[in-house]
Amino acid sequence: MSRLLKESKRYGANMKRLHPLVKAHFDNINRKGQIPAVRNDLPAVREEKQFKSLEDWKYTVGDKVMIVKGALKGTVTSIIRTQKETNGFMLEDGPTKEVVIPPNYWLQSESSHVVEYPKVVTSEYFKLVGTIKDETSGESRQIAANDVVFRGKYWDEDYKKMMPYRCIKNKEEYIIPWPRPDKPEDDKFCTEEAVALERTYEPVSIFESDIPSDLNLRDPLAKRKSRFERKQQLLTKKDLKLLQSPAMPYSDTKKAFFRERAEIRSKQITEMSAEVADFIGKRVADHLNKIKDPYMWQYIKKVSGDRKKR
Amino acid sequence: MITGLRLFSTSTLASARQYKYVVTRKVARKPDLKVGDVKPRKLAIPRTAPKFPEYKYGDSKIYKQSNKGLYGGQFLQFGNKISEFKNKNGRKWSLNVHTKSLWSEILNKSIRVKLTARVLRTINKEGGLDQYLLKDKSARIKELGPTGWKLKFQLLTKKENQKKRTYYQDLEKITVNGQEKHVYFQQSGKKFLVGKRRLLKELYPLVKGDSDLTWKEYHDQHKSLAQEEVIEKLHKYNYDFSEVAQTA
Repeated sequence: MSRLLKESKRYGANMKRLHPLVKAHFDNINRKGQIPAVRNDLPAVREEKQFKSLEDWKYTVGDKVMIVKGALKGTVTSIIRTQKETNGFMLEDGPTKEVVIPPNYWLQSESSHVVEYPKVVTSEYFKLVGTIKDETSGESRQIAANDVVFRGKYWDEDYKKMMPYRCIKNKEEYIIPWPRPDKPEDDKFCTEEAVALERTYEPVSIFESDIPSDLNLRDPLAKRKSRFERKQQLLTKKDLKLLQSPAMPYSDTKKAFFRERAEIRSKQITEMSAEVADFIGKRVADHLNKIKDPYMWQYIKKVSGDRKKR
Repeated sequence: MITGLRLFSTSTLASARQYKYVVTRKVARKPDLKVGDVKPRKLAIPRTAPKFPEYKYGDSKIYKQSNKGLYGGQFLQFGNKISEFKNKNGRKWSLNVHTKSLWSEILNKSIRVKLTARVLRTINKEGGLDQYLLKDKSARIKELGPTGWKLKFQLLTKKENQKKRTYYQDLEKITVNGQEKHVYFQQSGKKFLVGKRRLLKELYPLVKGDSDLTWKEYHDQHKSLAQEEVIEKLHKYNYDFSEVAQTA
């Protein structure tokens, strides 16, 4: 099924194709139908405007931040969660709201239907906090960054990927490092990292391989053969016969035309007869004998075939 | 205004037809395949060979009913109905299509076909369905469409077969043991009552002898021989021609 066909949604309304105002109306109805506990605090962001990369988000889970708005202004806390539908953040000691939760959503420890739940806030609600060290005095102090910019990249061993350097805007000499991620816990069936990364094969030549050509790394019990194992089908005479459609027979007019053409071609003279050659030679000789200008003769001798042969 | 002057058009209406929707169709080019080539992954090999030759211009993707009849390269046209006050309302010009049974002299039967009034008029002018279909002008081939092309193939193959039939009728006949038989050809004072195919069959056991030569191997080697060469070979093996030939 093509993408367009999927999106066109022959049966049922497609919200993507609605007018923005009409869509807002339906969204409103949807929101009213939801229980208050699961309603978003922030308006939903269109998919193309949602944050995707680290550079978009700027802050990530585990970052230390200072609240700059509301009753909790000045509190230093950390980010515990991000919400991609609203480009929002949840803070550890941030603002909360009382929500009523129906009994089927209750956890075992809960005894009341009223629960304190963290509110989702935008990035304007806080500032990123970093620690800098004074080189002269050796004291370290915390500073809050109005904004951050990204300059260059480095390999982060914990994240196992290239990460941008996060600098304070207009004071790019201060780099606020990314928080360390939680180390993934190994399952009991996991292969150890050192074992997985151990190099066991070293090619000797780029021209010749010492790997046997019939070595099969695939599961011998696999149901389906791989693309390379499957035998390539070669076309047979019978196949080509089945693909060949019959030729249209020539009509009488076409046949007559071919006959006439062959007749004309057979009549055409391809070799010069001795008679004709003599006749042409005589005419040319008569014409040349009339010429008396010595310069003209000089020229004729120069361009004549006999001279060229010599 | 010039009066008393009649304007003559330099081209007739028929030559003005451009067959725009016929000649601009895109027909997929067929790959040039040979025996032993790797079969392309998406190439489906049909169970039976196609019955008709491919129409150069392919099927029409618009106004698809035109693929099923003789529509003379005409298609639906769209435009506006314009009122006295220049109000424009969309309209279409549909074709004058009829279903007719037309007699084919060559096939000796009537063919039931959907066709437009304009094509029917052309058929009348040409003097019949066969004449309409068998004309070779490039404009006519554009007009025919897939259905006309198939009918044309049927007519021409029938004609070819009729000629083959007359080949046997024209052969000399002689009576051998009270049976009437065709004389296929005469050579070295003998009237041959069989063709090259039978002679090849007669030669096979002689060439094979005690070897493991299969019929296919033998046939591949000998099928391109001329009939004189086959007879020469039979002579070498001292073949008795009495069953297949009569002395003239």
